[in-house]
Amino acid sequence: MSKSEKKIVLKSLDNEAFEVEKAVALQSQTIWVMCEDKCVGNEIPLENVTGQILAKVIDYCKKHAVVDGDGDESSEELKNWDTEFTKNMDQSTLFNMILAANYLNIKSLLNLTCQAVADKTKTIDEFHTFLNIENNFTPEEEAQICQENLWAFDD
Amino acid sequence: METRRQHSEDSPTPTISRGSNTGSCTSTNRIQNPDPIPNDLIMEILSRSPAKSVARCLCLSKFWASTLRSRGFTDLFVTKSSARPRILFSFRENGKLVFYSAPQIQNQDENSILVAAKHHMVFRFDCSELCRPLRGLVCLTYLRVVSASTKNTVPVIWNLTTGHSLSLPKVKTRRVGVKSFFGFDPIGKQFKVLCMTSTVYWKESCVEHQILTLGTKKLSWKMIDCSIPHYPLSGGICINGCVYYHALVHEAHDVKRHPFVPPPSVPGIVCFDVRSESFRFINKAEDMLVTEVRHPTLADYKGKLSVLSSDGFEYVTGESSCLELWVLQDAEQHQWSKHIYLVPTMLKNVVARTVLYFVGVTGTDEIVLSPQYKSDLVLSVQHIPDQFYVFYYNIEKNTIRRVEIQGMIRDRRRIHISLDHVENVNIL
Repeated sequence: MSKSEKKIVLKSLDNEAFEVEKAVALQSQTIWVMCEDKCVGNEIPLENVTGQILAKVIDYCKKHAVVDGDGDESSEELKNWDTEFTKNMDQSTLFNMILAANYLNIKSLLNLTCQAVADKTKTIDEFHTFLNIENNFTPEEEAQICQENLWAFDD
Repeated sequence: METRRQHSEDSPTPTISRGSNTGSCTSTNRIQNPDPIPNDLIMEILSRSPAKSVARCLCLSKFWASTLRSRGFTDLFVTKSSARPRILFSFRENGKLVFYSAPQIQNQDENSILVAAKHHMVFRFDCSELCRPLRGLVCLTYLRVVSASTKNTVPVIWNLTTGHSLSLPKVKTRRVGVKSFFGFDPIGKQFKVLCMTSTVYWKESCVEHQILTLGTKKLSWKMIDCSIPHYPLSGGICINGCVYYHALVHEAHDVKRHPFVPPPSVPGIVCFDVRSESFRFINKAEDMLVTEVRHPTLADYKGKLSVLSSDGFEYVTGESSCLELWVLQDAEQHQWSKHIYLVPTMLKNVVARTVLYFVGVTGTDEIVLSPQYKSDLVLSVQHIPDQFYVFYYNIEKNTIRRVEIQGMIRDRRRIHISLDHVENVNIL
């Protein structure tokens, strides 16, 4: 296999191009299927992901592609890396990372980002904002639910 | 697909639409996140959230209130919760039953760890029997005094996460010696409570076998046949739809001809299939020491029934040399495999001062042991140390971890410990 065949170019929504190792990109099931189908050349357009988010996704895939081959002695290190990776992401970035991981079908990244949101989001207002859900309860109905679940509102 | 159906019924103008690039931004807070998160991803997030967050999210919208209460979601939540299992402690004290839990730390290399215990709840009645917790629920029975001459045995199901409880109808019996077991059928996804009553004569076969299925509209006891005359010797453990317990199984006996002779009996393990509601007898392994008063600990080892002992005893002392682990390989053929491990020196050092009892085996190949202070032993308070430890012995790596549990009450007599406790947000 020539050097060029080992590489692949991913193009973001805002036309930013990233050249990455094929082994790195193929962690995405979506890209894997696209390559299998040979419906694309060496350049894969990803219409749902911005360059800023794609760069982070590639960071994640690079880390996981390298370490996965090293055996389990580094699993602890990988876990710590994952924690650091999501630790300082703001809500908006996490939100877009979830959508990107879902679109690109990278299960471990989707798990990681969903868990990060689950750990960070606590109050009902945070959930309303993050999940973009409108409250269609009357104040009385809402009070009733709170009353039935007092244990969840005790701190 | 239940959730989508509810979606259209409960929310004619859905606030969330599935798929991408279809959401039209109507409210101001949508500008930041132009694409809505699909509902299945919201389910993914919430199924990983703490139980309290899920309960708070019942207030999100009508659609989410019904989705988060649906069986599909509560089952998903239990599954996700089982990836971060907890160790559950219960104490009996002056007619109260107190619950605490702490993380069951997995795959950690440090050999001395400190974890904080979380207090769950206190039951203020003297329960006569506590079944091993199952998927975050506990079943306990207590005697309800109706009049001077009438006492009813009443089982209660508690959700340790939410604190919700459900009192079941009284067990159909005039007797007071009720043995109860709690099981879950993973195929039909049903919890069932099995009760049977003991006769006046100690350790004669139990009678009046009956079963109650949770989740049915009208909760009621159904009498079932038991083809194996037996007397349960231990509490039960539910593994993959079967409840196992030590029992004395009685052989055929002509009571009329030999009224004063107890029927001949053999110790073994009874397996109750929760789905088919049938009993089966499993021979103990030949060299497994089980008697009327001594029965080694039953545990779940990778989805199989296992039995733990040390030199045949259900506890480890400074004199112990081996730990034995039997695994039931084939219930039909009564086939067991036996694994023997030498008691590591570090454990010996610990047990020089106390006695360790078996708790179970974790999903990561660790035998869990804990010091236990039996209520029938006369112990002065000074004998109970301030620290409470649990030991994890890794049978693959031959390593020991000591985990200190902080924040539990001081009197630790009559403690019951179980592994793999999960959170459950199901409303009973």
